[in-house]
Amino acid sequence: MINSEIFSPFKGEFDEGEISFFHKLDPRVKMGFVVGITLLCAFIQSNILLGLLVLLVIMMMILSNTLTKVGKFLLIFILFCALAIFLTFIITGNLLYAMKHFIPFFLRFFVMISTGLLFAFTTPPQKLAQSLEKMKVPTSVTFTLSIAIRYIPTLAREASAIFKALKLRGVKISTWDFIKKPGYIYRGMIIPLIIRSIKLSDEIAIAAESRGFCISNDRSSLNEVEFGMKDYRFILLIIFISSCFLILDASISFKF
Amino acid sequence: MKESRFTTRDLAFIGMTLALMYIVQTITILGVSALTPFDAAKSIVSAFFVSIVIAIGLAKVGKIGTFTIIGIINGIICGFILPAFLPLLPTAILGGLAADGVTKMLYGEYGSRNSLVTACGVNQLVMTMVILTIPLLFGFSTMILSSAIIIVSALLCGGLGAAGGLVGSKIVDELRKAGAITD
Repeated sequence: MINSEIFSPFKGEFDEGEISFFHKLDPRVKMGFVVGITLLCAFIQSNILLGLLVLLVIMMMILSNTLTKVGKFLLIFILFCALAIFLTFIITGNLLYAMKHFIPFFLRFFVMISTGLLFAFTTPPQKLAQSLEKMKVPTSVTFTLSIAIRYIPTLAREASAIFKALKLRGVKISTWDFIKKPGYIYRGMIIPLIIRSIKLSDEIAIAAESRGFCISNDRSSLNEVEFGMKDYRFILLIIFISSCFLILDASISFKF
Repeated sequence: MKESRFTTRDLAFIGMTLALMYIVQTITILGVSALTPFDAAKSIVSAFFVSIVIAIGLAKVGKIGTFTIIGIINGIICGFILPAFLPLLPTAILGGLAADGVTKMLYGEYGSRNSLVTACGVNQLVMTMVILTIPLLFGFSTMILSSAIIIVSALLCGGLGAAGGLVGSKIVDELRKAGAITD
């Protein structure tokens, strides 16, 4: 029922062969990269430059060995874009008009979503939480974030197991039943899942407190996240590329 | 009134609520994205189901600030991990802050049915309003997404969010009777 591949970025385990330069960057640098690219997308007006930015992001995905994984998620977005253009074409009867209205918007969103997914597929969630802690984000947020990220795949598996248990007991729920008999879902799925999550949260709290965890104290970590030379080099490279794009955008007036 | 500091147990339960909420959100939004290019439909479909889960989390923790924590973390997850769309970060934070603010002013804390309904409604209303305005700033066609659609969608989401909060509070009542949730 629940495809665990949907939640694959939350597993945070990489094989030796798939670790690239992008995986090794400090998560704070990558977060800055995502924010920077999003802002750059908002400023750039030229469609050609937006297209170049799309190519740059695709190149980064190839270099970081994430193109196949990210591609699956981008397919949903591309399908959405195609549908929007098709519907506008049906309404207006003018394909050029539909494309003129949607292409700049979709190019921008493609870049934003791709860079976000690039970050997600190259950063272990625990490192993200550690980086936020280094950025002085309160422990209450980082601790909760760690738990949420860690338990998303677990709860998805639990939901799948509950669904299978229902099937074993002879309750067959079709997609139509979700609408027709919501009580089935409520009694059979939601209540057991909530009770399970209450139990799990109690166990986590007891385990954390028994290991000396305290919300007000600073936490230490076995594997600290640190800035290195490669991070500074990447920051300089991105600043240089962004400046080039902004200068080109200001000086070139051609559009798609 | 409950003590205002968050305990480890509170935070652990907020974390589990977020995990559950994320699963519900992903399944409903992915289902709708594949079927319609109408952006507002995603918010409308997920509003009800997500609010049920949030209401349960709010009722168990009961402290003002819970919705802001939920907003920040949901924003970080949706903005940086999946669907990795950065504008969702400020949207989720604003939604959480608005819900906490309104509940603090009207009820003081979470717990009563009305406080859950109001908080979930306000959160969905603000979030939908913000997230549907962002595409217009990035040049989305006003022919597809006009301000009238944004307002109607936001009101619809607010209503569905409140309905989700109501269903959530009923589930909480049942769980309290069964002894699964204790104050």
